[in-house]
Amino acid sequence: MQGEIRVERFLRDVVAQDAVHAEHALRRVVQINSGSVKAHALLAELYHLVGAVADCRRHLHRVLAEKPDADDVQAFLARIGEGTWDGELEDLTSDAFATLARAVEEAGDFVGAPEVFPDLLCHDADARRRARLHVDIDGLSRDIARVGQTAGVRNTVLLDRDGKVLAEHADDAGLSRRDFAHVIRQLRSTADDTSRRMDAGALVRAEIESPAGDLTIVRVQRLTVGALYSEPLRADSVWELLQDLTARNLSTPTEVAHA
Amino acid sequence: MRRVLKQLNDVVGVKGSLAITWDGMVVASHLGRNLEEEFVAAMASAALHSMRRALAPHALHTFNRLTLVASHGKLVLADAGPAYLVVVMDRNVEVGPVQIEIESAAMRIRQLGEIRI
Repeated sequence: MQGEIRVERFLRDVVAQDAVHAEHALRRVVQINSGSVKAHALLAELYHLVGAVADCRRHLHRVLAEKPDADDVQAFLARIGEGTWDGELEDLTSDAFATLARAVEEAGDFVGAPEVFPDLLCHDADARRRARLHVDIDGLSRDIARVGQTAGVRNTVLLDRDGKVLAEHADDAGLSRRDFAHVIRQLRSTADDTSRRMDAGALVRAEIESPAGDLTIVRVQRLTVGALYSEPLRADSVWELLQDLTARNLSTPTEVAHA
Repeated sequence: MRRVLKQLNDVVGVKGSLAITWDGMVVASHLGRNLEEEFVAAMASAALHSMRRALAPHALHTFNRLTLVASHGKLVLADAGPAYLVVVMDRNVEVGPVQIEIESAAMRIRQLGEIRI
């Protein structure tokens, strides 16, 4: 159960710690019950996501041993390039797996596409879809500048995964553009680190209320939006502005239509 | 102080709270079963120090409240005078309505006066 929840969380948030906990829990399940189709399927999925193809195959063959009529598994095995399996492959060590999971987290994307893995356990289809959200960088950049002109907003910035500035805005009362981007990079790193160490998953938002001005940082996929503002704006209204902005530029047309 | 924390923990969605000094020493705590007091205190203190260091050159470092919202939980650090109030919250609870309770608890801790360890 814990393994399944952690795999779901890894799919949704790409936090390595979830993958490591999931793998550990699922390994224990297959040690106790080597015939557990569910545990083998989840382990295979984890290995696929981090790019451990041989281990993914090994566990899918165990699934096939229990469910020989699983056509989608056979098709997937053919797709990843192997017809036979000798059954003697070495287990990936936990440390090696943790290294692969961390690399995935740092890259912000899976090695194996989540949506191509056979849906053996009727996963939450949304989680897979969310892993490949549409991003309209140009629209987002335009909207960042527009939000920057709202009364009370002193600085806004949009950063990519590596901290590169994609769009920014500063008014006369704000920090210099360079300083603000630097502050947001540092705060993002601290907030990310704290969330992960607390095992609270991926950072969604950080808010700092200070007499000299308030700050909001929002993480969406691999992007970070930062805003420095003061009266008449408050943290909740800025959060609404930024939610509106991300919904417009980081959603598929279908999702926007549903919204 | 423990009474203040206990009352705060009765609010729906609050998983635990503690008061720490600026350098991370625990003054009082009331945490749920899955939370280790020293670990939460160390994490909160480290976050406070790092954030302050980043904000100090821009005169933004005297912050009253820091809220971290992650996909599986929330953490609020509020200035409570001689201590910082650290509140761990469930992911499904909106921070807004609980902020009033946090502010009230922080104010009551502030009124308790000086802390001597």
